[in-house]
Amino acid sequence: MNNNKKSIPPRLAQRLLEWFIKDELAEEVLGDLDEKYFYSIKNKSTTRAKLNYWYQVFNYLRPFALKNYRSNSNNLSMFNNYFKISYRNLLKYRSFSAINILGLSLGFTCSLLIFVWVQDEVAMDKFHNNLDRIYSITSREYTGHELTYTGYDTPGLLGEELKKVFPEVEHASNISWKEWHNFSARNNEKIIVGGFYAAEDFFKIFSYPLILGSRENILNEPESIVISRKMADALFGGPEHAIGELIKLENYDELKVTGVFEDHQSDVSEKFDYIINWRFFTQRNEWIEDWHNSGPNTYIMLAENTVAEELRPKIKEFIAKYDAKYTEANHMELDLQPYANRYLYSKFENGKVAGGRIELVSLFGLVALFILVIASINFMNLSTARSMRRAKEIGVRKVNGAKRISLIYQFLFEACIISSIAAIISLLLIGLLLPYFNLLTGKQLDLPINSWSFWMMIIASNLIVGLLAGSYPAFLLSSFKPISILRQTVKNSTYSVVLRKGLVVFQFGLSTVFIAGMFTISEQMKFVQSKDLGYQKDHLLYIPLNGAVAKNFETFKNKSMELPGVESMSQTSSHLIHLENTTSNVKWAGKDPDAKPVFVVSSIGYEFSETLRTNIVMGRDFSRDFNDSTNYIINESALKVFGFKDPIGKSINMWGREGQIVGVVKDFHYNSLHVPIEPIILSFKRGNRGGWGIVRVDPNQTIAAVNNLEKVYKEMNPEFTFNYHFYEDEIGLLYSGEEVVKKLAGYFAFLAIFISCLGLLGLVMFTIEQRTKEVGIRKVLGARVSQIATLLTKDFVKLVFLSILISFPIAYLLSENWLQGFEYHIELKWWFFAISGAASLVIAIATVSIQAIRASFINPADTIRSE
Amino acid sequence: MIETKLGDFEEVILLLVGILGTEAYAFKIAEEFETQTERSVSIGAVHSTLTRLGDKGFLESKMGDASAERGGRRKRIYEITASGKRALENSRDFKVSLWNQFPAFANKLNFNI
Repeated sequence: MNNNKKSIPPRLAQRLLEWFIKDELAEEVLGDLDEKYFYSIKNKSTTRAKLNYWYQVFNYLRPFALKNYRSNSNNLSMFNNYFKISYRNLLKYRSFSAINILGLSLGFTCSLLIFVWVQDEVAMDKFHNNLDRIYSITSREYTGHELTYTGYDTPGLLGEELKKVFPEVEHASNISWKEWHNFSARNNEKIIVGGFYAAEDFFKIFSYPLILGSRENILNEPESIVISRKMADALFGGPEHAIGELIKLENYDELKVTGVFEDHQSDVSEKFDYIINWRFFTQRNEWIEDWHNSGPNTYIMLAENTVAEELRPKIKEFIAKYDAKYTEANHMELDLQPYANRYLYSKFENGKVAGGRIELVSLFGLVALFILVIASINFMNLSTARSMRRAKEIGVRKVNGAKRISLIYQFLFEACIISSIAAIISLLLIGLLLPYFNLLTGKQLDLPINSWSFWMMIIASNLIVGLLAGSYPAFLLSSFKPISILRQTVKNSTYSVVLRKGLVVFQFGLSTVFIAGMFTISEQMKFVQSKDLGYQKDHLLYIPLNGAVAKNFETFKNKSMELPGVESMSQTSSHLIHLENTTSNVKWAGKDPDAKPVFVVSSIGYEFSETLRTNIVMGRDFSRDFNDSTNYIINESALKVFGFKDPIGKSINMWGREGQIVGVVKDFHYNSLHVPIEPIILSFKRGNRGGWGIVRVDPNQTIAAVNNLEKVYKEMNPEFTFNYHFYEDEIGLLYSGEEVVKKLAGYFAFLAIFISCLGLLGLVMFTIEQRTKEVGIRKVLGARVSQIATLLTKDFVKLVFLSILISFPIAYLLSENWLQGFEYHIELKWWFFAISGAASLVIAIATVSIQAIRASFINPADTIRSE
Repeated sequence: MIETKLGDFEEVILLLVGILGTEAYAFKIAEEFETQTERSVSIGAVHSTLTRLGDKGFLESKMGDASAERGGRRKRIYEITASGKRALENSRDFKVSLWNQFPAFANKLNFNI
């Protein structure tokens, strides 16, 4: 079959076969396989023939055909020997092996888990096809020449205009903030889900997989809504029944389903269940159509072969043309951020990206690395310490003609075997721990057994640890002259002793830093949970208002108040722990004409402070006894800005509406403790759509209260689903990230100190073993148990003490840095560090002294009778 | 000690060697096995069995001719030895005797041997 020159059997397979098959069989087997190959080509295809060739080659991996390495290859028999010696050493020094393997596998487990987590974080939102061309628009707002805001809020008209003006912008879409709404289908199925309003281009920019509908025209009509599979299942019993159907939004506006997208996987950071056309949003929020107002986010996708850097300067002052109120002092600048960076880098400082989630990711990465380092140090320390015991073996091997290189191989091989065993154990451990880890981090992580980078990571870390730990004995011991080893003139060099001590100091220093960090975090979280927020957060719940309940809130309130359990009730226009609307359009007598202070604004109903149990410092709540519809309540911070001596009755003008201040409320936290309390102006809530009802319930009748509220709600609003949340839970969510860090920090600190102690234990056992004769002689000469125990313990305790001293400043700086993330935080106290230091010291002393005391009880007759 | 009993697969291979005569080498035997039994087998498996049969003394082999489609490599031709033949006969007789003791078939079967 030589007419087809191209088809020759696969070269690599041939080589492989030649490599492993017995020389005397090579000719006939290669011949047979060639014949088979050409036979297959004739009957089947070339590809099939090639595959079959490989199959046949692998089928020759049988004992009869393999080269007999035992007899033929010197290299292989050496490896056999290394393996045998490693195995014997593992068994001979069981406790050391156990310490090594346990420590290393814990280290591997911990760092691999974190690696999996980090990989998941990095992969977030990266699945979009045109990821490198998608950009978020960021904005910098200047008020009175000062940079007052950096973030993603942009004018709602921006997307469309950018696309019109710049040919470089292929697609652009504004996106609203996430809104939760009641949706109902004609068949009366209901669901409450969250989602966004976005422009036609949304699905052209982002590649969220569609089940039904085409990317080109899926959102084209103002009433278009694209829903998730989950929502289609709930409302219509499946995506295929959803297309073209009508959905009622809050039982009021009708929307038409024009597409269905697949439910989000875990790699979507901001999940949503619906997208409604942008125009639907602007028709109902006319303020969006003003270039001076901002709030929505804007995403663009650049045309192919466009350089973002060239577009950047062009869009910087883009808004100047459009915003009628644009001045040098008060204006907004635009910038671009690659969408790929948005998830991890979303925090801004001084107008520049200043980290964000990446801080957490790199912190964890660092911790993983450090724990692995601590575990490797154990390994290294124990192998250097014990290496002198192997000196004789090396001497004998050298006398028998072993070359230095083969001795080096031997030690490296041994170290790699130990680290491989640890790696295998850690893989099993990860399999066991992953469900709990997922619970802790709130993720859906799997062991990425299909990802080659995961295996590379395992093999690489395994090799690095093995080679590092094995390198010292490998290179140092193998360099000794056999004569000096056998005459026992070689002592552990001072260099190795210093190295060992240094590593112990490093280990315990790190562990103490972890403990102090854990301490700081848990103290701060305690502070966060117990801090007086300015109102009573427990037994306070909120209900999203809609339909008739929103329209006739007073009726709802009166009916509910008649039933047991409900103590008082009020309403607000925006969610109380996420007050985000701000304005600088406030005027009052005596205002500095250049200043443009920013106020947080919201509107509230009657009995607001009674329900929240905030303190009214001056004046009163809004009351039915007065006509309060244009009046204002402010907080203490706002009072400071106004500078009124006697604020009650003073007039202020917000958005052109003149009104009197009727009350001053004590500052309360309307957001997490990360951010400061800003001046607030609360107006009277007039609107009869949307908002939130706030209910204070009787602590003893919480369940009754909720049931009664639901009854009244259902009576008035049969077409809506009743939904409620407790403020306490919602406030907890503000710190969910920190809660995870707190728990993980606890585990890390424990692991770090545990692994360090394992190492210390190994070293102590080794030292004691070396000094058994000395201990025996001392005892014979009359030393007391306590003296001997002190003697054996002293050196180690000194080291640990030194490490604690070194760790203090580092721990202080790191803790201080973390606390700076909170506007309201605890002060670091000296005793945090004292306690963490004492904890490390006590644990270390306990580890060491148990061994030392045991050693000092040994009968000297046993230890000094021989030699 | 070398096992001198014949396994099922070994027996088939041994028979095939006899059938193929001068063309009895690993590739051909594997092909013949596949066509006769309609079961797939790798050359390696056949080769391994051939070697084992050789160790038991049922087969002997010598290197044969080379050909172009083998890349100029020679092939190993196998041949049944006398003890191989005896092993086959024993195996057949044993089975026939078992068949004869099987009451349902004992008198109806005609083996034509």
